[in-house]
Amino acid sequence: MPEEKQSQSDESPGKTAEGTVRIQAACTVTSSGSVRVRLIQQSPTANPKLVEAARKFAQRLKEKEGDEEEHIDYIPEAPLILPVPQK
Amino acid sequence: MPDSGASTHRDVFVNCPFDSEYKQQFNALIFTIYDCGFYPRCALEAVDSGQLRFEKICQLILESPYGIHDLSRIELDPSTQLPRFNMALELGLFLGANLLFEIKKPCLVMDTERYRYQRFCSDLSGFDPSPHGGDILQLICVVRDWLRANLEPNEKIPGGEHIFERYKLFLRHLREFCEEEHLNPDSISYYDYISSLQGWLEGKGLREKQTS
Repeated sequence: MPEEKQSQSDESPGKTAEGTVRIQAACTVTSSGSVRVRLIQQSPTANPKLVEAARKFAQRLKEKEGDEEEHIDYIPEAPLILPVPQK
Repeated sequence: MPDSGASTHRDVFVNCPFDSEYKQQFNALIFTIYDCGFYPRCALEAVDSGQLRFEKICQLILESPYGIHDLSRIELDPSTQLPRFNMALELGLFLGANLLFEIKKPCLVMDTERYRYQRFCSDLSGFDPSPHGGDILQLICVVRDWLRANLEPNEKIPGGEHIFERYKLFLRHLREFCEEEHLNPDSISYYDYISSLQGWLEGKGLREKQTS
């Protein structure tokens, strides 16, 4: 697997035969010099600004806490808001 | 056919109740659809569009290549002594559109029990609804397994139990995110919920498979 040196993304609208679709383009430059472009489809109903804010929020958490996924008890009476465990 | 302005090839029409009693299942259902690489579409989109709800539902059905229908809340309302017919109506529209346009859109029909439908809609005989018993984990597993069958063979998604763990983690992070964004997590709108969810999955690196 070639080493990936750089990754950047930008939002742009796209057109298909079926109609307008919001996409995100992510470009990756490999060690061999080739550029890999990935087009990521966006939800037709999501708010792009809030999506971006949530993406940055999750990235911050990922950098801070890593990828470990701890077991969390599910509380049926309060399903949306789960208590933050004591640290 | 209506203009399919924002449709995608992975849109899933979601036919279920939107009341507070179903909120637990609804949030889990939407999360699972996203986490499996699909996009939920439902009548809640009509709230801000100014479009007649029935027209919007018909448009969503025509635009969406897949459908998930949960009939589990078709039951007598204690105050009116009448059942809720919206889910049955929308399932009928979905199946009718398939016949009318001679297309075969895959659909998942769920209920609390496998054969309960025979007591309120026996014409559904042969559709074999998948039971989830009102249990969140079971619902996630049923939806995940059905979506898995509609993915490309080379695509990978985690099992239902793992998606359930991710879902609980998302709920915890959503609280913090809502504080940052000055949103009320108790009354977060559908738009804000799916926007937060999509961004969270992408930020966690779990949403890279939606290539086009």
